[in-house]
Amino acid sequence: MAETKSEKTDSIRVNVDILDNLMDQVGELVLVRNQVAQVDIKTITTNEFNNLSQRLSIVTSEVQNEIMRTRMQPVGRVLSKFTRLIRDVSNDLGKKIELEMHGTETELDKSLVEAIKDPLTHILRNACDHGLETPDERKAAGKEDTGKIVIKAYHEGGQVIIAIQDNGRGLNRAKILEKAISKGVVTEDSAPNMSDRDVHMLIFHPGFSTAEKVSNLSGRGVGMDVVRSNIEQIGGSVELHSIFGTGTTIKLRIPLTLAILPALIVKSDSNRLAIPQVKLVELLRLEPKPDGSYDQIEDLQGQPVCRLRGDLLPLLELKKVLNNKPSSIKDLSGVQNIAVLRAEQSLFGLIVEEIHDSSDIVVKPLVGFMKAIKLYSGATVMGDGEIALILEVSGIASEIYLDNMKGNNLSSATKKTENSSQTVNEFLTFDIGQHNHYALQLSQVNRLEEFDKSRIEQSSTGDIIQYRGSLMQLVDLVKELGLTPGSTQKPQEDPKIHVVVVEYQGVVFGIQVKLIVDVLQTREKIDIKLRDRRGLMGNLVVNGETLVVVDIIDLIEQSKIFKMLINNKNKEAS
Amino acid sequence: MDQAKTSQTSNEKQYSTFYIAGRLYGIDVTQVQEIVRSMPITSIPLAPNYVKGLINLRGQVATAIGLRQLFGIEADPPEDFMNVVCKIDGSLISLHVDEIADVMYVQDHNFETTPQTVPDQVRSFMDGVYKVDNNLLSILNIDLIMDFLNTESAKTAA
Repeated sequence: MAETKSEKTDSIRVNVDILDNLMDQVGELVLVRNQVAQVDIKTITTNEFNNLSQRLSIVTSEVQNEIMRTRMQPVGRVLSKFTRLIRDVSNDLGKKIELEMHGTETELDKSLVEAIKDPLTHILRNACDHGLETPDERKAAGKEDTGKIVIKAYHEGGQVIIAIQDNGRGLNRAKILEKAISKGVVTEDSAPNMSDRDVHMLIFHPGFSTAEKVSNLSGRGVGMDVVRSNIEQIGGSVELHSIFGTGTTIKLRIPLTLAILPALIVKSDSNRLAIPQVKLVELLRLEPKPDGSYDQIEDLQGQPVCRLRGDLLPLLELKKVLNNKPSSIKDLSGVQNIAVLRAEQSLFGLIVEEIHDSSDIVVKPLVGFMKAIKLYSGATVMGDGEIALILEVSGIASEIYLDNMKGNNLSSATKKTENSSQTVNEFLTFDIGQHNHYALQLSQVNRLEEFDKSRIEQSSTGDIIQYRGSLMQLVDLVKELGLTPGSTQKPQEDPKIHVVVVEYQGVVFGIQVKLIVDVLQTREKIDIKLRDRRGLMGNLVVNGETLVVVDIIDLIEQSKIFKMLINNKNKEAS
Repeated sequence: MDQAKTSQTSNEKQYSTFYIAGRLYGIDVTQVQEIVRSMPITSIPLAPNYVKGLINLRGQVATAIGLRQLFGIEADPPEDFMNVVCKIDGSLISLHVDEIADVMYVQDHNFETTPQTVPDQVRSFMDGVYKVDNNLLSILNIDLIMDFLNTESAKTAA
C-alpha cells in the first residue's frame, strides 16, 4: 500500500545549495536542542534563557525559510507552455499575435504554480479571441497588424502579481450592458448610471459571454467567473482594467504560498477564531448612545442591520452563529465590534466580542468528517500552542444567514443594497485648504499614506518623497490647479502629511492633502457646467454639500513635468 | 471473515488496551501512533457531542473523539482523559479513554465474535472479543468508528 502511494506522489527538483543550507541549519537545530536538554532549571539565568530562545528562534525561522524555498518554483514553468498555445490559437483564428513575457523567474509555491495554469490559459485564450482584433480590423483602427500580449510576473507587497495585458479592442461597455440587461443581471434604468469599473466587473458574472458566435475557444459562457473563483480559492484576487479601443489588462494577485495565510484573530465566548484577511473588508466599532441604542444599528423585522455609508448591512452575531441561534437586536449592548466580511455575492457584518491583532497563520486542514460543518475551513496552531479554528466566511453566509432569510424581507434588502452599490460611483473626499472639499474617483486612488514632514525632499520637479524603494513625485493640487492658497491654511502643526497615492501608466504620484475626509457613494451625476479650468471633472452635490471633482489623469497629462516623468519611466522599461 | 483468515497465518496478536468505565478495550497496536496524557483541548462549536475538540500534538492538529460519548456512557466521567492517538488516512484522531492498560499479547484460539446481546451502540464498533486472564478484552475497530463518523457527517450535511 505504502509503496504504491509513494509512486504516485510528485517529485520536485531542489537546488543542492538549498539542501546544503538546510542541512547546516538542522545541525544547528540539534545543537540548540542539546543545549536546552542540558539546562538546569534551578541555575539558569534569565539572560542565558533569552540567549537560548533567541538562537532557537533564529534557527527555526531559517529552517522555515529554506523549506519554503524548496517548494518555490519559477512561474516560467507554466508561462513557457503558453508560447505554443498562442501560436496554435493565432493560426486557428487567423490573427497575428506576439507574446512577450517578463519576470518568468518570479517564484511561487509549487501547488500555486499548478493552480494558476488553467485560469491563465483561459485568460490568454480570451485575450486572443475577444481582445485582439483581426489584422484588417487592427489596420482600420490605425494599429500595427500584429496584436501583442504581455505577461508580467512580479512581487508586490508579499504577493505575486501576474498581469496579462493586450493591446486589443478593450471591453465594450455598450455590448456588455446590452448583454447584462438581456440576462436580467442589470435593469435598464440603472445601466446608464453604472461606473465603467462596475460594468467591467459584470464579465465575472456566471454565464456571461459577449462573443457573438461560439467558437472552440470561447463564447461558451463558462469563463471569467470560473477564473475568478479558481483564483479566489487559492486566496488570490482578480483585477481588470480596460480602455475601450486600446486594450485590457487583467491582474492576478496570488499569495506566495498556500500554507501561510494572513488572518484576523477574533474572540467569541472562550473561542479564538481566525478570519482570513482576504475576506475582510473593514472593521467597525460602534458605541451605544446613553440610552443603550445605536445610531447606526437598526431593527429590521427583529434582525439587526447596520447603516453603512447609506447601504444596509445585515448583521450576524458570531456568538449566536456558533450556538446555532438567530441574532436578535435586543441582545446587543455595550460597544460592538463588527467585522465587515465579503461572502461570494454580498457583504455582511459579523459582530464579534473581541478583535485581537492580525497574524500570519499556518493552515491545517480538518479531518474529513468535520468538513460537514461548513463554518470552518481549517484550524491553526497559535503562538501560545493553543488551537484556533479558521472561519469559512462563505459558509457562515450560506449555511445560516442566507438559508434562514430565504423569502424574508432581508434578502430582498440585501439584493437591493447590492444592486444599488453597482450603480453608484465612489469618491474619496479630502480637504486641501480651500472653501469646498475636493474629491477623486475612488477607482483612481491607489493607496492612502501618511508621511512625516521631515521625509519630504526637494528636487527640480518640486517636492518628492521616498516611497517603497523609489521616488514619488508629490502633487500640490492648489498649485497645479492654479487656485489661490486658502486663507484657512494656518501654519501646520501636524507633523505628518496626508497623501493620496494615484498611479498612472506605471508612475505613482502623491497628492498632498490637508485632511482625508471620507469615502462616499453617490448616484448623483457630476455637473460639468461650472467647470472653469482643466484638471477638473466638475462639481458634485452630495447631501447639500458641493464637492469639486478632480480629473487627475487630465491634470497629469497636461502637466509637462508629469508627462516627462511618465516618458522617462517608459523609456526605462523598454 | 478477514479476521479468521489472518488468524491462521499469525496466531499471536498485539493490542493496545485501555479502560472506559471499568471495561477493558483494545485497538490493534499497529494502528496506534502514540499515547499522550490529557492536553488542552479547543472545542468546536456546533460539532456533535462525541467530537470533543482539537488538540495540538507537537504542531499537528488532532481531532479528539470521546469514546464515552460515542458509546453513550455518561455515568461518572473521570477528571482526566488519556489520548490514544491513531493516524488514519493521513489525519490524526485522538480517542479519549479513561485509563491506559498494557499492550497485550493474545492468542487466536481465545477469540470469539461479539455476542448479539451486546448493545448495538458498542457492538457496531467491535470486531470481537478475546478471553484473557480474569477479564474480557473487547476489540475496537478504528475503521468502523471512522465509517460511522463519516456517514453521520454526511447525514448532517445533506
